[in-house]
Amino acid sequence: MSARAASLCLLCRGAKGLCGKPVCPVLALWRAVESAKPPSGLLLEGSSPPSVFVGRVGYPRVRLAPAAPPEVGDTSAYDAPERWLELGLGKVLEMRLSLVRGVTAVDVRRPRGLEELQLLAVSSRPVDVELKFAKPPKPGARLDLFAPPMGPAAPAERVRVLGDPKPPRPLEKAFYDTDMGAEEAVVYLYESGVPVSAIQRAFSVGALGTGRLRRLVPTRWSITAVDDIISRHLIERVKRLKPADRYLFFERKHEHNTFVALIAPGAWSYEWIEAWFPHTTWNPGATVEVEGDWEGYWGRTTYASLGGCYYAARLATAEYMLREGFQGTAVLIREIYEGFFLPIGVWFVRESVRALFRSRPERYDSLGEVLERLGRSTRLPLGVWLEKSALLGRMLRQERLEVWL
Amino acid sequence: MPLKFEFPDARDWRYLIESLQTVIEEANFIADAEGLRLRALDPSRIAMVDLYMPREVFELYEIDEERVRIGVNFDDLNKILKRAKAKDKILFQVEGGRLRVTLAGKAERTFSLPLIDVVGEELPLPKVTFDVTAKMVSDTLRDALKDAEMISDTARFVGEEKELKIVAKSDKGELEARFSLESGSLLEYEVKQPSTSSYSLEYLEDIVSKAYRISDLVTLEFSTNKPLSLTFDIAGGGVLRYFLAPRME
Repeated sequence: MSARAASLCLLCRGAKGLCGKPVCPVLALWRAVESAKPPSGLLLEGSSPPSVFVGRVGYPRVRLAPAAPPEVGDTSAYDAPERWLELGLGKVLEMRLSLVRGVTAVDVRRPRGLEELQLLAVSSRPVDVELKFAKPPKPGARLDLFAPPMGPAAPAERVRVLGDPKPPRPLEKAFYDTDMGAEEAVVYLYESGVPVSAIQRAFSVGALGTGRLRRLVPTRWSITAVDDIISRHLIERVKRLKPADRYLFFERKHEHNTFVALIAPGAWSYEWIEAWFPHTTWNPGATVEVEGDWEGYWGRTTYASLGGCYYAARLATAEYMLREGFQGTAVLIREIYEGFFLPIGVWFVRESVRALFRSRPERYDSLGEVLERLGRSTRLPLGVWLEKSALLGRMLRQERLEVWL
Repeated sequence: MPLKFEFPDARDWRYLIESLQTVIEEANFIADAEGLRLRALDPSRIAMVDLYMPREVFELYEIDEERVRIGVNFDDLNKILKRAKAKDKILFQVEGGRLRVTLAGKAERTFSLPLIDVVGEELPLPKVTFDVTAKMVSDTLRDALKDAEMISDTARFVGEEKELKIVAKSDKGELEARFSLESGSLLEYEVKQPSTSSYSLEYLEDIVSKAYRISDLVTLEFSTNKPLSLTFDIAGGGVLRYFLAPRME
């Protein structure tokens, strides 16, 4: 495949049809994963973690699908990405592909009447449900760049909530407070300690926002919307902190990925660069594809071309700076190697970058030293980053006025 | 009342505040017997804004103390200024830790917002001697910078004997904008020594696209690998000036 086509894939990631083919050839490969075993029969009783999927195809008329595995018990880990890194990707896939969805059709503008499913989605513990299918679930999996993988699905004739959903207090408050705007509610929930994945679920089923304006939001969009809202809020606070006093370097190698972060003294700014090695999820070509996006102190006004990962990693970066009490210029780089070929969702980036920032940083006194360290950490040579990174370019070449004061 | 000043057109103040916002989100105005000043560095310490509004530009200017500091958040102030209608006058009053802003047209509306504590350092102006000085229509400069921004994030300013050039280059292509007295695109031009220097378009385009509304004319000064100065004259004797640190290529 030509370099041009490969870079198209990286920008499209199966979402935009940039190559003109009716079905994404990369995703088609993974129809092979459609081996996940569906339950036999038309009735499934199980404990929903909870998990409710909102589709984006046909928007604003989309699919709404509560999901449960064919087992009863504590399934909470099945929909809690915050816990997945330690379980390993194999186990996560196994759990996710056992989730069976009962698909119904809804109009995102009419969330009324869905209260039972909304309450299910905001529950803090698994809820027993009974899914009655119109026809037996087809074997197969649903893979998505943004949302975690999902198992088999079938149209639902009836969805019964058997258990008693228990939302955490803050979510209960936000759910019943129809004067609280959606953005305000997201920030409130985050500040109250509700996990990001639970906020995303609530956001997605239209459980948040001002009364009449509540909408269902496709899972894929809600994930990034929530990452964006929370991190914008955190960044405003980060910008009031003192600047970092040294150069920090973080490194994490995990599941065919390398994540590195370089934080330099200075005002808040952030950059996210991804390098996809050949034969990885979004790069079927034969050469390494590097794409990046960044924002300065004043933020950005357009959607980052790299999409969800940019915002998920920005959230983890802002969380780190706020925790440590300083602001800085952050350049994050991710290398994705051969062997990493399943699109598993943005959670992987959010949780990996969070883990990266939980590790102990190396400290350096000069830009030269930390760049040298960066060059030793990544498989691509330093020159690639110096050429691709807007912020490193600025650090190296941009003078400050102080020299003349 | 420690301080009170009135300006004939409220919208000019909106443009002014939006121009300051390209460099800083909040800052102190300092008022004394001579007039109003503001000087601040942006958080990355790459750009400086320096504003001077002598008392003569105001329709009314009364000060009871030697020096009054007005710390404001520009976003908050701008929300008020956006409510101004054409030909509204604007009156500022500082009293009791609050800034009262009155917009007076057909009706009179008074808003009030708390003054904030901005940690302000006393800053000197950059010490630079400029080898190239050019005066041009600010809209012309704005256009050239917009063109350059399509190509690159950096613009190179080249001051030759007869001609000023703004150059942008990248793998996307190349842009060269030329200005001279002869073609009429420069109104004044003086070169002590031919000079070349590069500046970040992220800052430059942002600044000029707001400040061109303050003044039809801009004076641009630079020297090789030294800061750039952009001066916008405000009718009546005020000055809005920016300094921008260079990029080394």
